[in-house]
Amino acid sequence: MLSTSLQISGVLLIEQDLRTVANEYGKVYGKDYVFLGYKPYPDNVILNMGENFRLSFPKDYYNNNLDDLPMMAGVTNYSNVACIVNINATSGVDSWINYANGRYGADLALGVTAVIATDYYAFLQSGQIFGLMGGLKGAAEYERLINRKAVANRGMTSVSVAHLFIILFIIIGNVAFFASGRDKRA
Amino acid sequence: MEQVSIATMLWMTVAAFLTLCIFSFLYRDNPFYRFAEHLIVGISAGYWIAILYHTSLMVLWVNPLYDSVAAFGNSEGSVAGKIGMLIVNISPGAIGVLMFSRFFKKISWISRWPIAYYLGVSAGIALPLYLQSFVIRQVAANMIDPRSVFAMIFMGQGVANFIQGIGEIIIIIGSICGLAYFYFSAEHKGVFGVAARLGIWILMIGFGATFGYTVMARISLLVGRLYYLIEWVTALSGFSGA
Repeated sequence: MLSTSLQISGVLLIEQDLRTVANEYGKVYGKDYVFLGYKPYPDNVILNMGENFRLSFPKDYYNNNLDDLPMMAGVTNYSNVACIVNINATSGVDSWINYANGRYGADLALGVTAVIATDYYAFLQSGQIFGLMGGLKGAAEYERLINRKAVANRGMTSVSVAHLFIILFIIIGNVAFFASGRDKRA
Repeated sequence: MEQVSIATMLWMTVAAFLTLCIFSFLYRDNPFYRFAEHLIVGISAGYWIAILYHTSLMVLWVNPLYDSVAAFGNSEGSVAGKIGMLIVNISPGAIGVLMFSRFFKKISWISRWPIAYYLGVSAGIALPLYLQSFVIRQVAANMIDPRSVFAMIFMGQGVANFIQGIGEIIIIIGSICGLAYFYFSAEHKGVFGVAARLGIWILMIGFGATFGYTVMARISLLVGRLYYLIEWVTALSGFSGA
């Protein structure tokens, strides 16, 4: 697994999670996974990686030369990876769709925050992405898919109750509005 | 929960304190909230500069530049090639330095060159691709073969295909009616008026879905922080200082 962060705030999160998961599954750095780290200007980095990962990342996050890592032997660009999974909370997703999929034809799946999830269902329908995890709901669905219910499924209980309350308040607000006869005065 | 070390407990307490500082804004603006807000902005800026220096400036510019200067010291390769590499490696920094001309009023116009270069390259690469990815392929996705839709719905190809067929029809009707609502060159009356009316309903359903997802996002953020506070209290209550 080759990973990178094109948002500065994601660097430590990814690094920490990679270590945790690697320890859990007994994976070795450089052989099973590589963390490239951060580079600014996501559009340029995505385009560069489409040509050669080494253009933007001659060295990984830990300052190793990419050519010295066994996993990177024969891995040049997107055509050498099975798919790209982009976990994102910003409109930076557009760059992945535009450049990685649009220009280089890479198979792309998304994991996005709920706020922007609805923007990307259209790309799922058009086949530009092959998967979409939308917010906590998407994460909970993924946990069910791999048969390992955890944090997301627990969180969905709270979210579902919150949604029910909001629906209830909308109903109460509408009933109060029509009962007060204000709709007629307007 | 497993026993945590003193260092972990300390950092967990700092994180919990800062979380509570941010939550204190629910009461009203206060010094604790402002302290946490300023801290995150300051740390983010400092962290960004440090990461940028080590992973970008050094790796992508200073080191290659150093290598191309050092290449003059060995006998391998032609001098013309070495000069060429030196120019290639100096150029990004030289173009970047032009940005600082903004600090000098008389020559501030030079800062437009790197901006023009960057915008020109970006526009040249991005525009055709954006048109392809966000317009042509989206429009193409709506070009559905009516025969396959008919087959999916009426030829008994299974429940999944039946639902997909209905979905395709909703997409076609929704797109046309949504566009009809924004077409103001004809009065929204008769059949066109019905389409426009249906269009606004489709749009409202779309906005409703977005609103629902947004609420879910905010609640899930809250849930995440509350889980963390519970984790912190649990760790604190079981903490023996070992």
